[in-house]
Amino acid sequence: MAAIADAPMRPLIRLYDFLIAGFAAVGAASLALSTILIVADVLLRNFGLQPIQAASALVEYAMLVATVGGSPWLVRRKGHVAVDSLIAQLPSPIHRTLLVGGMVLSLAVCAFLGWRAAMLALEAVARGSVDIRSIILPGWIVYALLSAGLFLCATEFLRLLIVRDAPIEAQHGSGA
Amino acid sequence: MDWPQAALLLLGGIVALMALGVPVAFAFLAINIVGVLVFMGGMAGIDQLVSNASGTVTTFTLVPVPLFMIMGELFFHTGLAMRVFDALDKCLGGIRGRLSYLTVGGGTLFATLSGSSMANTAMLGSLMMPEMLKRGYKKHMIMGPILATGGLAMIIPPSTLAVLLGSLARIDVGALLIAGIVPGLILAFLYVITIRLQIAHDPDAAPGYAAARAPLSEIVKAFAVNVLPMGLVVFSVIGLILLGWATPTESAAFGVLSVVVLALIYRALTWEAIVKSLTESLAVTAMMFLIILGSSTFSQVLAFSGATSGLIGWATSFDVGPSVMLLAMLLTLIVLGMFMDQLSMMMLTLPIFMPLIQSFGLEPIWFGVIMLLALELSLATPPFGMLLFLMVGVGPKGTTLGEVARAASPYIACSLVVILLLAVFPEIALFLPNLMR
Repeated sequence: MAAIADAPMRPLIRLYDFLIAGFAAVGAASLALSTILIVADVLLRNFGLQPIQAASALVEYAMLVATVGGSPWLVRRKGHVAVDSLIAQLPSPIHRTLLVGGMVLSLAVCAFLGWRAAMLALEAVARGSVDIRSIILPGWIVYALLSAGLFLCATEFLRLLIVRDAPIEAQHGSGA
Repeated sequence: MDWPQAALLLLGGIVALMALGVPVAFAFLAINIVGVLVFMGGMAGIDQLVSNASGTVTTFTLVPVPLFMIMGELFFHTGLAMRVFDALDKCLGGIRGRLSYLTVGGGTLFATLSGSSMANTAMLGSLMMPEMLKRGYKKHMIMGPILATGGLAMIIPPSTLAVLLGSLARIDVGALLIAGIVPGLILAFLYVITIRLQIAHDPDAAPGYAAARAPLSEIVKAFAVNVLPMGLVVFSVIGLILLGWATPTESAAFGVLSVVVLALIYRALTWEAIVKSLTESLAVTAMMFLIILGSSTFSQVLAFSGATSGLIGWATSFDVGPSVMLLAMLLTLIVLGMFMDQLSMMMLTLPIFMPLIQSFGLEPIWFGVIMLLALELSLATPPFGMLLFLMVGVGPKGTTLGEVARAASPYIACSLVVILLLAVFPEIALFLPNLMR
């Protein structure tokens, strides 16, 4: 982001970069914690001790944390799956225009659904709704997580579109 | 709106957006928004879409996906995979084509320890390719075995793709994982035969060189120290499921634990290896789960619009038998695989295929294994199979797409042979899951 960074903006940009990396770190940590929780739960159960009641609910939520935590960082890494092989055959200006169009569409989709998820989170807070799993969790958490992840994806697409040192390229993640 | 128009809007729309290079997850979300607005009406439908999306990935059945990924990455980054390869290497001596055989042998063994075809292919590529190039192997003897064996991790448990297929198609995940063992091993055996035939046809394709076979005592020691302990991982994953002692999710967690324990014993567990493994696992997990999250409402919109029932009614109106229908589904997968990734193919086809499977009274686990094989081979089919492009990127300098496709073709034939065998003898896949019942 250095290319567009004026001096007063730099701390803000550093904070934003830290946020993207921090979200990814939390996502990765959630995977490690899931492993530990499951192993501890199974061992406790088999040794006749009290299992961790919250384990399955927390592990299920960890999957969402990993998804929304990793997704904005993945946009930056251009690690989402996209089929570039067809449009790559087109002349360079058309290829570039289609890529930009795809990014604008992705940005709009993320911003729109991020906004709706935020509204649902606020609604869940107002109604005091809960999510009943192996433990009872406040209903707003999933929407808030989703909203944060989608908004950060939107800002990352925006960053790819406006920052000069981030070349316009297709996302090139691959499968399992 | 009639069902053909609805199907064209939804299925045609998603294929068009993907073909235009829109990232798959966001393409699904965009079409879902359009579908919900057209067929379900207003913001209430959009809010339902958001609600579905958040609920789809917060499920226990998807947990093995990242855990199998972590297993494979830990194997790779701690160097445990290298130890297995070194042990196998000592057994082969100077036979012609030894590095191609080693690719299949080591890759198959690694497939029983890792759930990721990407990690498997990356490891085989980085480990075997430089040595094969140095020894003067022809390109097809290098790329064919790597490309084919890399994909075995999709079929032999622990397989992330089998977990995804099982949970998305509501097939018993444990049974589907176990059902992949025998077909996967048959496939590996066919790969060995293919290499032998290729060498018989063109002995210069894999030049022989003096490589002394290690003394028996050394081989036994290498196996005892570097291969046998890996049985702990195989037992933690396959054994615990087969014995019915753990769910696939629990066995996946114990799989990760067993790799960590082994890495500690070998003094190979470093902070760097842990961070790299978690980072790479997060990248693939976020990528796959966002596609699942994005496409969660797709099957519902498809059903709500009448496209699913219309398509199924149309497909069953031809009065054809189950084998013709199976062939049609396979052809669909192969065509889609020419330009699409596995997960997108599953999300696009499962809403149509699974009701069809039910209406024809076919066994879902058996179909799941066939679908995994079709997904595996479709990635290596020209002109746009994703593995072909991957291989052009990492292959020897100057490699063309045509060369990779030609190298892959005998191995694609092997997959077709196994699919045919499964179609005629379903028990190949089903007898192990039946033992669990």
